[in-house]
Amino acid sequence: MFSTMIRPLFKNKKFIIGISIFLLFLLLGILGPTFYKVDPTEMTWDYEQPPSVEHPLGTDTYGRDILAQLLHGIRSSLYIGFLAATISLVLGTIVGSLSAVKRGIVDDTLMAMTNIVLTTPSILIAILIASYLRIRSMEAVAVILGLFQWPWFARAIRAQLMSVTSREYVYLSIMAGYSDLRLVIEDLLPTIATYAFMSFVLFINGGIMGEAGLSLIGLGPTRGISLGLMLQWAVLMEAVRRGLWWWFIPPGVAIVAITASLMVVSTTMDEVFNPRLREE
Amino acid sequence: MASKPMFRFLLRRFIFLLVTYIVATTVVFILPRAIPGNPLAQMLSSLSQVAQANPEAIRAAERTLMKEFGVDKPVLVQYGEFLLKALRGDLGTSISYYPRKVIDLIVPVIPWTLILLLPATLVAWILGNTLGALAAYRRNTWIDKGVLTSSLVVSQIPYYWLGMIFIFLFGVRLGWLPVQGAYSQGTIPSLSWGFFVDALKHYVMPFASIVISTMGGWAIGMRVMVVYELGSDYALFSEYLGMRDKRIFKYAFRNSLLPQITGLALNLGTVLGGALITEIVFNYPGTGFLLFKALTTLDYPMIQGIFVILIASVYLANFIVDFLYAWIDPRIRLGQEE
Amino acid sequence: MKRLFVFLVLALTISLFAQVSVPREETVYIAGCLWGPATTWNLYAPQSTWGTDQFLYIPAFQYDLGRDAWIPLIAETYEFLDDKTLRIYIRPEAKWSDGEPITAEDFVYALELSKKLGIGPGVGWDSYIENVRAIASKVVEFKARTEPLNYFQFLSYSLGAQPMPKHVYSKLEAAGTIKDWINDKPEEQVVSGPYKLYHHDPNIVIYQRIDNWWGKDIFGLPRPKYIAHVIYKDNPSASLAVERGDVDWVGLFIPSVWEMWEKKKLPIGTWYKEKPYFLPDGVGFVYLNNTKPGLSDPAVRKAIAYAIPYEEMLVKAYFGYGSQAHPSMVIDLFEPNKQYINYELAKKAWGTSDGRIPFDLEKAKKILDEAGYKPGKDGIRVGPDGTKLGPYTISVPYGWTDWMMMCEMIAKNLKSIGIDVVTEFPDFSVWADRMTKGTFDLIISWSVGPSFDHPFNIYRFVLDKRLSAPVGEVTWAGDWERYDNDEVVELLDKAVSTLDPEVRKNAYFRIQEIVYRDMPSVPAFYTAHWYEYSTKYWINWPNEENPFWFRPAPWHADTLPTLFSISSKNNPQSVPTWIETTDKGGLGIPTAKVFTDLQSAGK
Repeated sequence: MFSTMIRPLFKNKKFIIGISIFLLFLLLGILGPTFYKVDPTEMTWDYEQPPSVEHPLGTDTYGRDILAQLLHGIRSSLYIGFLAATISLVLGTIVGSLSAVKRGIVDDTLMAMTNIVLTTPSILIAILIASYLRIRSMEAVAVILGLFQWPWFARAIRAQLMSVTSREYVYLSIMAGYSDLRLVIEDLLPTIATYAFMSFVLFINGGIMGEAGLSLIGLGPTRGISLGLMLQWAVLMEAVRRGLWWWFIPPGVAIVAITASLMVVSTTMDEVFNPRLREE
Repeated sequence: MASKPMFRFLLRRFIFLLVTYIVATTVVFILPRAIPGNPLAQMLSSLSQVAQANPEAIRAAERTLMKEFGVDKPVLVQYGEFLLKALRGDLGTSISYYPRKVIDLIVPVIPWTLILLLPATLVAWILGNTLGALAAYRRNTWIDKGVLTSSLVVSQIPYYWLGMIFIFLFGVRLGWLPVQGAYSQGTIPSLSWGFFVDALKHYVMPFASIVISTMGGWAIGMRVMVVYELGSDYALFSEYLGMRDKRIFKYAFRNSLLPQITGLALNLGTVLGGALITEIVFNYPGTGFLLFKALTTLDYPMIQGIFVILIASVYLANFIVDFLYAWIDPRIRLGQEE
Repeated sequence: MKRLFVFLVLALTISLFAQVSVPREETVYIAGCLWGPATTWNLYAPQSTWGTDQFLYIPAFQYDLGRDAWIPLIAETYEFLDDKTLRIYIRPEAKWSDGEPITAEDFVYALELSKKLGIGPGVGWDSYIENVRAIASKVVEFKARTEPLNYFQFLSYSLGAQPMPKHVYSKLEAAGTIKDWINDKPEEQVVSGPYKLYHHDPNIVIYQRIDNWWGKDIFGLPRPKYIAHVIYKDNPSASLAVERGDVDWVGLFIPSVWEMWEKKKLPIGTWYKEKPYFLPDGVGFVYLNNTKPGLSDPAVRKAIAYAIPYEEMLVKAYFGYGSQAHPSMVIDLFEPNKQYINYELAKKAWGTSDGRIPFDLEKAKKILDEAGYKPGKDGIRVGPDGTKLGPYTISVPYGWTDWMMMCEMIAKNLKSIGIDVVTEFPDFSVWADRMTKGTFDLIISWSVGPSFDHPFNIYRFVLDKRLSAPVGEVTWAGDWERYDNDEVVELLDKAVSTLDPEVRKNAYFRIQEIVYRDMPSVPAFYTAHWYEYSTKYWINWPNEENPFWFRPAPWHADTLPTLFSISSKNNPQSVPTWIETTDKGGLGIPTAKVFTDLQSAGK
């Protein structure tokens, strides 16, 4: 069954391109720093150098190697993205499935909460929280971002489960005296797995873009290097107006490549699996 | 026009938004108090650094400021005062711009943000939806593929980064457009033609970067929606009946618009956040600029004030969208919702 | 909704109409002093808008750092009745901008109000001045406190006193609105200086010259008709504007500033054409927390002092904008200060010709070895009592790039001598909290700069335990490293309560001995007095070749004479003679003369 699901995907050209780009950047992030052993924080006297043999992507105002920063940045941005996505997914799944299974007052409260978070301008609240945290680890940033992405996923999960629970086999399980938890795990979750996977991909994007946004206004991680922090430094040092293109273009390209490739993967999956979108 | 069910719908939305707003402002109020810290550090340090002040002067200032901003009342009382004052438009006194009132500092910058944000958001929404619908209508043609692929990529470009690329290309390399600010230093801002042209030149790039990077998302959403609609029973049925494609498409388009309007409401916060950052990249003298200043100097009353206003405007915009929605959607207008 | 809309449109229209234009040739554009909207033009506030203190309200005497002299501005002359009593005679011409005469009452009122509010011009004066009285309408009398007796503070508070318009403030005081008063209406401003506010909005602040200023027959008028400060977002955007010639007078940190004229051929200059480009403005310290185990040992602190790569650090992280500080803490780049350094002692203590601390890792290791700190398995030294040297943190606020880089270099070198130090760059407020509460290990931070009472001011700031607070309690006033030495306190009091230069000098020399023995913290480098200028529209800026004013940065409180001396490019004018000291035909009274007068009045 699994292979029948996967096979059509690999016949889709767009999917192949998307997933390859993403895997390439994933590899860059994981293996890059191991192979390119330049310390991204080491400040040298070669400042603001354009790309050269010694510094393949040039250096910044403090002579730090841009390529090394980029590789470490991709790694941390992906890490933050994955972490934020996991948090969102877990929160969304819990809230959505609890709502669907428990119904009644639990459902009402949870949905009211969901709607409130959904309507709240999340990026603003994230900025607010981040501004009060003086020391921000990568994880803290991921948590802040993860806290606001889940609502629409929770709503979708709830809707899906509601329609599923009215089907026969679930009734059978309930009659068999399964506990709520077992009900959720055994019967309900598989039906939403694809959907969850696609959401996960979008959450990663949200995490990566959110980190970049927070960093740009100076609220990114206070330690380490991420793609957003690279952009922040570039903006702080007016790299753009001074024409130091090798500094601000690579991190942006990396962000767009990662998020766009994930987006392509998600859309093509939607097209392949969603009967209403499938091309005849 | 305003029917009773529509009124009921709007009232419900209004109450919901009000409750949400109270929750949000509570968060805004509680956060700075939940995390300990000395908000006066920045100011005292600049006294100590720049003024090269006497220890006596620093000590005196320290004492005076502590008293000025010190919180000696119970939190609940403070909260009540905060809400009451906020309702009266008094958002307190800024720390880094002491003794200026927060509200006096915010009001002059709001127009700049609105001028940038509102037109850009609307233009992006209209353009995006038109393109998306067009792509769906010409499904599987090169138009569709072109729109879809470019939207997928473009929608993932952060505004501010697109802004940087624009500044670099059109400002630095080609020298066509000014690279920062809302108008040139030295020009005479007035309601004259000359100033208008100058301001417009400064406006093009921030505007374009917001429009282009938000457009893609709308296009993708609209395309999927119309494709759904075209595949739905009523569309197929109409087709069997021999209705012309254009006619069916028109219905499909109209039905797809509704969720896009809701989407607009839900996305306002994100769009606003992005616009704030875009302002920073372009040194555009709007709310984002002020917020950035407040964040870097830890001016908590100012941060709170800006958020109280920003969140309120997002909800206000939400409500306006609700109003539009209620007006357009026949189910609400005629009382057949849910 | 409609009302809100109308309101916003109105607000925008008003902000558009309210804009003004000033002729470029008659305006000096400034950057580097204002980074956000203006606060207030009222000095009874913790931070007044830049310009208020510099151009609007001037003091009785203006201190001249370069010549170590006092230029009488509002005052005409002074007289010592005895060695505790000073009378200042106000110029008969001196008037407020509304035509009211500046009187002794304005001086007395200004100081009494600062005392009452706990904030304002001359706040803290009552610690050193017994009382201030109006003897006649144009004569003010200051009586020094004898307990404690501090001649420096007495003189700087009294000679530097700024009068405030009593007829304006007494009304506000009666209404209880002084602290909320913004003073932002140009037509209502009553000032003593040659400029007043012309226009302000969130983008710009402009001051306009008062063409019939009371002092114009004595001092002439400052040359620029307008001075305008555009509010830039941050440092880089401001320096970009400098590069484009939009700005004439600058107080900014600009990376590789020499490229402006060497590579880009721009008409931009700094004080020096060569390294260090800038005048010194203060001493940057590596503060070592004297209360932390390990760091509490003078031997460890001394070893650290030898292991700081001064030269490399300044060149790489600071673009060579400063030089290594003298271990005596005295800023010896100003000629008058050199007399306070015991060079013989320094030479003996540190073994270099000018007595500066050498960067010598071997020596550092030797000191640690001798003190019984043996390297452990991990290379980190452990003391005889089991104290492990580390892990310590060295921190500066995130984003302070030059200091961040210095921290990296210091940490690296300290590790190599067996002291485990890691860098940490927290948010500013965290860092400031650690610094002022004394919970840090090592930090780089500022101290105080050259001034009339140097080096007393720096010894006091760094070493006076009376300014400190117990660990955990905030103090901004000084002694962040929590150094505790009663002898230093006594010496400090002795230095300022004597009129005998020899006694004072010997007190400073003794302090230097103690400092070399204890090394409470390391004076590492001179911070730069950020000052750049453009000759595109304005010429005759003070610099190394034309050194008529030594505090030329637009942000500095003593900068006013700069504006009387520069000229428009189309109309070159000379530097006025009044800026010189009396022996050269000017008005400046040397501090030495002030002290002699004081001494002879006591006899």
